[in-house]
Amino acid sequence: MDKVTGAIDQFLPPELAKQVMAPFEPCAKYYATMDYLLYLEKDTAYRADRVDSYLTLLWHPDEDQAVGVKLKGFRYLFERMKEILGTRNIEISDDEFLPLVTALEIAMTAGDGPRLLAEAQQARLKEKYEKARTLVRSVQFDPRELKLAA
Amino acid sequence: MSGSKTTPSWIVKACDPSGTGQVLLALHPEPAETMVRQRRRAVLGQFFGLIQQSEVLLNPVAAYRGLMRPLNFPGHDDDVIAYITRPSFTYTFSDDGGLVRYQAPRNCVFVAFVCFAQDVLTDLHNNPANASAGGGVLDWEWTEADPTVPYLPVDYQTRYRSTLWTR
Repeated sequence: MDKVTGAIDQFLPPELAKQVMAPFEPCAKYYATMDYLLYLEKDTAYRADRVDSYLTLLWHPDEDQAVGVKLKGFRYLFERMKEILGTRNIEISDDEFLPLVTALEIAMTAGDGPRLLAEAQQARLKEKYEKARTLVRSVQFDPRELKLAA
Repeated sequence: MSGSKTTPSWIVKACDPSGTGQVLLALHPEPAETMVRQRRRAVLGQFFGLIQQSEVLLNPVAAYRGLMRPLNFPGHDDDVIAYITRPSFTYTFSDDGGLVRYQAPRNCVFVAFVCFAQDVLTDLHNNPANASAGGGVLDWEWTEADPTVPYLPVDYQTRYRSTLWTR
């Protein structure tokens, strides 16, 4: 059962509480300490489903609905790219990372995020149908029962 | 990583990574600020309700060291410790700002990512109110539970670099 155990102004100063309480809008943000870009379509608790070391899908806690996606390792890839280009005497400054991340945030918010979620849901649906087909194929079926039912 | 002197201090109690004593942790300002900017009431509710108010990190069921993914700083992958807990409830901030407790997502465990590395401590200690913190909380989430060992995350055998302990 839902129970109220506190109020936001006990935990956050007024200016931060006001920001958090503004209406939620789907958007992508980069989390530097964990080095991932998080696109969220809904603000809800979610179940994290780790696909691999670069991608985690976030599912609604009670429904088969993808609500977000985490794309991991941007800074890592940027550093590797810098190293590779450095061997070809092409220098990239660290200052170029933030504009790159901002561009990615915009791209995810504008269209790539919703597209990734739609693809994830489609893939899960396909997987469920495949499981159902496998299950049906494994069932021993007596055709006489069908006659009786008719 | 950056530190902020303007972000408030949020200190929580947690089990020591050795599994025997207690340690104080502070919420790292960078994810906190980004969560606020993204208006993530659910995840902030989880921090204040589960981690701070209910102190779930005092009694984790397992702790793992290192993520099986490349992180942004050399060697950082090994510094992150994942605390696994299994509360039966979770929290969010409702439309009127109330911290509301409700049933946890089904078949999930709650994982918090904590770091004790020096650069994280430097970020935290930029704020004098965090002086007592011995580590930083970087992230947390509900993760699908393993179907055979439901108190651990799915693929627990392969998703972390090493097991610190399980209870």
